[in-house]
Amino acid sequence: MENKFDAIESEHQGLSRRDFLVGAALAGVGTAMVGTMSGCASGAPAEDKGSSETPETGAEAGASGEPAFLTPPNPISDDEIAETIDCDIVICGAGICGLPASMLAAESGADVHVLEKGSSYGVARLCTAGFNSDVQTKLGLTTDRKEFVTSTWAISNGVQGRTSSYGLWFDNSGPYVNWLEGIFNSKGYQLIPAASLDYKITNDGIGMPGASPLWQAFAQMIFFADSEGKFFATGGDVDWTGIMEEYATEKGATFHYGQPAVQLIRDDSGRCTGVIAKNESEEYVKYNAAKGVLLTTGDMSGDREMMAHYNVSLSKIIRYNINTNDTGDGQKMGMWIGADMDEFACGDLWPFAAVMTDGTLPKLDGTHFYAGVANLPVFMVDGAGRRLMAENLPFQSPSIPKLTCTSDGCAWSIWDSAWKEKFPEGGYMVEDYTASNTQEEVDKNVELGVTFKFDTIDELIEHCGFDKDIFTASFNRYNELCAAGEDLDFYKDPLWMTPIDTPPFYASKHCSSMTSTRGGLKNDERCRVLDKDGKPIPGLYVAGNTAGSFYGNVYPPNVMGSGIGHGQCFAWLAIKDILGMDYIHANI
Amino acid sequence: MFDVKNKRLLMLLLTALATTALAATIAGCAPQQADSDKGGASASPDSFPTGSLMALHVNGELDKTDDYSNKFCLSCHPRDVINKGNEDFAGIEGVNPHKAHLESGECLSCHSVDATSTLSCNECHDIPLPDGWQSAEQGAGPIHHLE
Repeated sequence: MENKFDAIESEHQGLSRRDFLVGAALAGVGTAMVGTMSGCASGAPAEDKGSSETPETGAEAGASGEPAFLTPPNPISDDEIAETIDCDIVICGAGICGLPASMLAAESGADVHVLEKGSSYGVARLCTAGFNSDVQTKLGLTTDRKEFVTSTWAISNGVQGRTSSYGLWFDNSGPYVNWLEGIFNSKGYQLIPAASLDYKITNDGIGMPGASPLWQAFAQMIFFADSEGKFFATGGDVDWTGIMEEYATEKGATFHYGQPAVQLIRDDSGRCTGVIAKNESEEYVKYNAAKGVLLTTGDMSGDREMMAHYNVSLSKIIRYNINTNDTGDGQKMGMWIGADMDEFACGDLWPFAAVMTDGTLPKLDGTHFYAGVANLPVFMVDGAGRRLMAENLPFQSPSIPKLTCTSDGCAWSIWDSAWKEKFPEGGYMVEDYTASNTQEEVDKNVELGVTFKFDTIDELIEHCGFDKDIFTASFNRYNELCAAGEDLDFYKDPLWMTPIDTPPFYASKHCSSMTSTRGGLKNDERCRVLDKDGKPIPGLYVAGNTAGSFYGNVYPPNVMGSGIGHGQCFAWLAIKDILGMDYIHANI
Repeated sequence: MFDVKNKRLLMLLLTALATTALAATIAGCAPQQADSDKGGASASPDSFPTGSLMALHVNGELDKTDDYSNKFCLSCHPRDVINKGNEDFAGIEGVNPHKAHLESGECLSCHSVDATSTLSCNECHDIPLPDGWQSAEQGAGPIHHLE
């Protein structure tokens, strides 16, 4: 294990050194925090702490080749503890995963305390997700288990993920969503399957002519709506995390805001027995958890050094639409007491975020962060002018080659002024969450300098800075394939193989936008955190973006809402496991 | 946009001031004599920028302190009072800078002792400012509108 990790680390260091330097200013906040925490404490067993010779500063740690965040801080001594609270369960993080966990724990009668770094609960996100729940099946929206498990594994993870995790989520997501729906109904709200609506987040390919058959997209997103069925796109912004917090509080959960967990406590037997948190007055509060500790502190994108360590490609991201609180705290605390961590992480990426030529972000209206038409399956090339992919891949798929096959994580979409007549009817959304695909929007984007308009292809090449030979070869090849009616290079559907021949021509640059990293502490089919021998650390659980053992280095681009969906479900299962409640177990 | 909201902002500020005074009284922060050996303390509150701590603490509450830690601030302004006094901030339903989804950090990260206070939320949002305040510099990320 040690050798394998070292080998991976060496490879990362070589690739990421420049990014670490360039990103030094951005990483400042995260680094400062690590520095601060280094002065705190650790309950790590002696063999994990590296004794008194362990360097306390990031500089020394960096010189030895090991990132500073891996260095366990010094222990917080008992005389530094201002207050001690005994309880059954401690949940670290009141976000979209910690909240449903706190709801279940509290309604089951457990004395549960929730520690949250922010001043309030986590912001409500787009959706939850699940399979074959009552709200889905009664509308005829069913998913085949074998198709889901095998397709998702084959497409995105290969051997990196643990296939049984997908079955675990599939089997338990229906019961989770049914439970959630009952609570939200009792509060006067509804859960509505996205697939039952005309509305789409973006071109997901589901039921759309011309979409790629290579990657089957699964429509298991479920939106939160008010009593009249209004959801975020129709004027019904439901503060569903607030409703979760309210329910948990009513059932007896205690929330501590502005009080991040800073250290886990592991006793001599190896059990994680609690957490030390830091309150707003900078005093340490010790929580003894008799039954278990659940880590749901979110992802690590707020610590750029840590993020780059686990996936250097993510350093190319320009539009970080992240929660800056999420600095990998749970992952770090776990590793400091001996937990094992995924070797790779991935990002939840939205592939067509508009970007100005100079790399800054444009000011676009509302949630429309995609430029009009540029997000459709048009001719797409990298900064040199090379075609990148079958542009009709659905949903988040284009973000992957854009990050891995380009130097800057960006690409250009190119189309002509006859696009509306050429593109397949029903093959794209005219209006969705991310874009407005109309000529009016294109004209607005041209005025904003997001999209550019040219009378000739030569002018386009000149302006975009393409290599003339590379672009011309790609462009001519594309038009030849369009004329032949078959994309022999990438097999984009012929419906989208329309020649670019009608001036004026348009070009728009885009980058990937990232909401969060996906990757964390290795865990088993009971959500128990594993140590470096693959054995559970008693008393310690993990879920959501703090958890690993699910994704590997590619976020499944065909599974919408998988992060929230499996994160919430697994946090719910962790509480069930802690309390000895029944749930459907996957084969190990 | 600001003109429309000025009245609401004024009401909000007055409410905040009243809340501050009330909190101070409740918590036993009795007015103290100005201490001339503390830099700036002898100056009139009027001489400090509107929205700064020195301008708001008009009864000499800060005259004998150099401690602006969160612990010190919270000793007079209990968390629940702060939260309640900032509900629906700037007239926007559900917005409360003191119940932000992010880490609140140091009080002084927004509240300046004797200079212009800065609304950190506006690094990512575009919340109308209280009188005398300035917005944090916009970050590299997208702006999220709250109205």
